[in-house]
Amino acid sequence: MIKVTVGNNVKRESMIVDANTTLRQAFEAANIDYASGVSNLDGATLQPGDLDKTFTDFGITEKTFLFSVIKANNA
Amino acid sequence: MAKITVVGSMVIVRSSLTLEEIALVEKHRPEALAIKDEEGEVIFKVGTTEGVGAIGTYGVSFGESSRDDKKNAVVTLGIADLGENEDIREIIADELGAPLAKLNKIESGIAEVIEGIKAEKQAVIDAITIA
Repeated sequence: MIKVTVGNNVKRESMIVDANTTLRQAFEAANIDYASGVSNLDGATLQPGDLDKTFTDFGITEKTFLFSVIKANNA
Repeated sequence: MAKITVVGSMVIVRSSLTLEEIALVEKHRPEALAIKDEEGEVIFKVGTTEGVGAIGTYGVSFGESSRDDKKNAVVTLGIADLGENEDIREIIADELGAPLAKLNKIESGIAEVIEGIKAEKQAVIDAITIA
């Protein structure tokens, strides 16, 4: 089990999930819209296809931060 | 209560529950497999996974069953770089003591939960009419 802090610009929550959970499942469990922002894991930008990889695939064994950040124009 | 067996440099943690029982509770009463802090945030969780499983600060994932008739859920861990004169019991108590204590706490109250789920399931089955 790992601790994942999932969020976006306005909210965040921590959850404990199995390390074989995919990033997409974690976003969906936290009800975070990951389609309209830039997703990152521990600050590193995710690439297409990464959302269906598990935390184990990324070498996460204890805890991590998963965010979808919406960047406003001219910000 | 979970039991621990050491074989060479492998440590096998054996739950008092079966993998099926854990999966059943995980599906119907996941909160019964979690420990929360004073603010209601989940701080420890027990569940099922694929593979050999894992034990850590935040929970225990069981992925395999014992080979005997009891079919208890087990996690197999490797201990690397173990010196000949080191006390394996002491190392296990240091490394796994906290999560195992939490696992035991969850296991201690789970029998009633399983009975409740089975009773509810049976009630639904009894209410079904095949026409």
